[in-house]
Amino acid sequence: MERGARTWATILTASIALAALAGAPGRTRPAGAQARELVFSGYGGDYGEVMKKLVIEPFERQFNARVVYDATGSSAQKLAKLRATRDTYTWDVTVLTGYDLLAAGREGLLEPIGADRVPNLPKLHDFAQREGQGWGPITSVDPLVLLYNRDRVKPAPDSWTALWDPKYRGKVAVSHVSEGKGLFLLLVAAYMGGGDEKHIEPGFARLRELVPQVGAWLTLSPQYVPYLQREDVWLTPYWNGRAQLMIDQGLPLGTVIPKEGTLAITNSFGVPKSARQKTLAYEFINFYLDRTQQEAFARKIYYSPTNREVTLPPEYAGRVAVGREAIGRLRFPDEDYLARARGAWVERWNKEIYDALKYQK
Amino acid sequence: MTGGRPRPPATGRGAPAAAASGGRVPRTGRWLAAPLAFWLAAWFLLPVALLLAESFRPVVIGQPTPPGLTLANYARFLGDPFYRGTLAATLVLGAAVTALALALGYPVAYGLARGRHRGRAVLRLCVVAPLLVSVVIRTYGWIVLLANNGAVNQALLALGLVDQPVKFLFTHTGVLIGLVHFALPVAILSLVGVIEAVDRSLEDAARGLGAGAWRAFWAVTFPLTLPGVAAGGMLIFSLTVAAFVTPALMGGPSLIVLSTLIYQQMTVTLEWGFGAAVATILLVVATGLFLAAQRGLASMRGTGAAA
Repeated sequence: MERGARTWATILTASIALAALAGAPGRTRPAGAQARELVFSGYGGDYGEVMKKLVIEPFERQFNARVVYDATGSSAQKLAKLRATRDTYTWDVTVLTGYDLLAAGREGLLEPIGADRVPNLPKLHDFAQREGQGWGPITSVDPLVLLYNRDRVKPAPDSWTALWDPKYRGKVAVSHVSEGKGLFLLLVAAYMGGGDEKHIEPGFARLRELVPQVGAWLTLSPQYVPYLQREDVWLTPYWNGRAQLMIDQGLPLGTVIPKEGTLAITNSFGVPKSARQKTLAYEFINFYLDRTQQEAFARKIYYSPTNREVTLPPEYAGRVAVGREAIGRLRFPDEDYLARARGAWVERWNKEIYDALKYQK
Repeated sequence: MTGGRPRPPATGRGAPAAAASGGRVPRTGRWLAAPLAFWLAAWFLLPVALLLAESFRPVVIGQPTPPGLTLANYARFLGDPFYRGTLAATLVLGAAVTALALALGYPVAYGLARGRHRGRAVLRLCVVAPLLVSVVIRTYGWIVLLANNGAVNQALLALGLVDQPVKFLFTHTGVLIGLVHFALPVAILSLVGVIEAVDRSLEDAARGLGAGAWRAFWAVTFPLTLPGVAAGGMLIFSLTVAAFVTPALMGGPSLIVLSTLIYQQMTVTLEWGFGAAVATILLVVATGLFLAAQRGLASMRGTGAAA
């Protein structure tokens, strides 16, 4: 990524440049005459593998369709691409986190999705029908959990306050507020101090107090792995799904939803206005919301399914929040508000954590 | 841009710049430059123009960009001591990495250029090898080495040199180590060419006139390599101020550089106007310093030719 002086400017403007230049002509795919072709924009890594095997392959067989998988970019980057290409065809279905879905919907980039288009919609938990505000169903949720090293953190923590415990000074990892984990930690801290997303002050106050505890400032989820493996980090807020995958890989880790409660990130599917195969796109979303696919996905990736009919065997207790009661305990932030406030919080975080570190020395 | 250029011919009519930009390039030569020109226009000039345009667009969060032009993005950056501080931090980091990489790289380059031993090919390979590995992987390597439980700290603790792990990661020191490692091959490669271009018989003449090896180096060889050193330094500096991966992975919140800010604005907060303004400021400052250095270089060559 650090190349010649020529290329770096290109990289910085990639979102704008690629959209303007590569977006217009020549990006058309051959329109399959027999099998209908759907371009799906998802995530890479384990998510992509599971998606292909458990959802896309059976879908292709059942609907005599071909699915092209675009695994590039985060949700925010997908929104950026939608915004930049607008009327130009990009995908037929795209994953987006809740707040990006709402932003895209508000900007007129998405088709509205109701039960007429996706008949499985009424089978979802109420919040999953409601939170997308008509721009798409919430397809799964993933709570922020407290991830800890089972050998080092004893007794097992049951409260977020463990992060502030002087015993674990230097062993805590925190993500930047520009990432979901950091953003949600800020909100959890605000709730603990009696605030909420609209009264964020207590959140920042608590995070300033957390600074001396932090041994690793990380951003992307994969960055955490070496720190957890080498036990440089013992305790950190982390996404449940990815945490369970690390536990499956044999790392001595445990997770807990602390007694103060937690927030969950929402995943959703949207259909761009510029999509070509809209009918097929709705069929795809409907297929994904079927009980079979939802359950298979929860077993492999540990995201909480939003279809009310899904049940999981007992060994999944404590590893995936399933069912009305467990999901009812999760809190969903006002994502509309987050989308608007986030820029200011990123700026404030940059400045306040910088100051807190400076005065620590 | 890199070293290894032949010195201006002695018959030159005293216009040192003629060596760099061609006054007498044959017509076919110009056509040979056409692919590069196209490449630059399509993938550099056009994006930069778009970026520049974007930097004057207003930003309203959660909404598509409204019409109109504004200077607010620049005012937000230049009017805020924090952001001015990140600009200063970026430039200081670039200068420090450049100085260290040149100082550490020069002896190695000298050995490679002047040494007569058999192992030179192997040594050259060792110098180039890091360039074959992605900078992300190299940075992860440094993280494993420099972590609190990492190899370096374990060695220091075992030797009794420290009684607490030294904090390398998420400090300026860590980023400096990572970036110098990133810049060293570039420094060495450009310096080898520069040193090789210095006529060895000049050194021999100095020795013949009674200078010791040390004196011959400092009085003859080193001054002759200075323009090349400066050119290599400019290259390293421009690479370093634009570096993203190493500061992002090893720096943390105590060292925010402009590339980190640009990344945040472009991909997370989606305040493209502000991100574009920051990128433009970096581009203008880096280009300005580059041009200033080039002028200094030209005058250096001028006096060098006159002497």
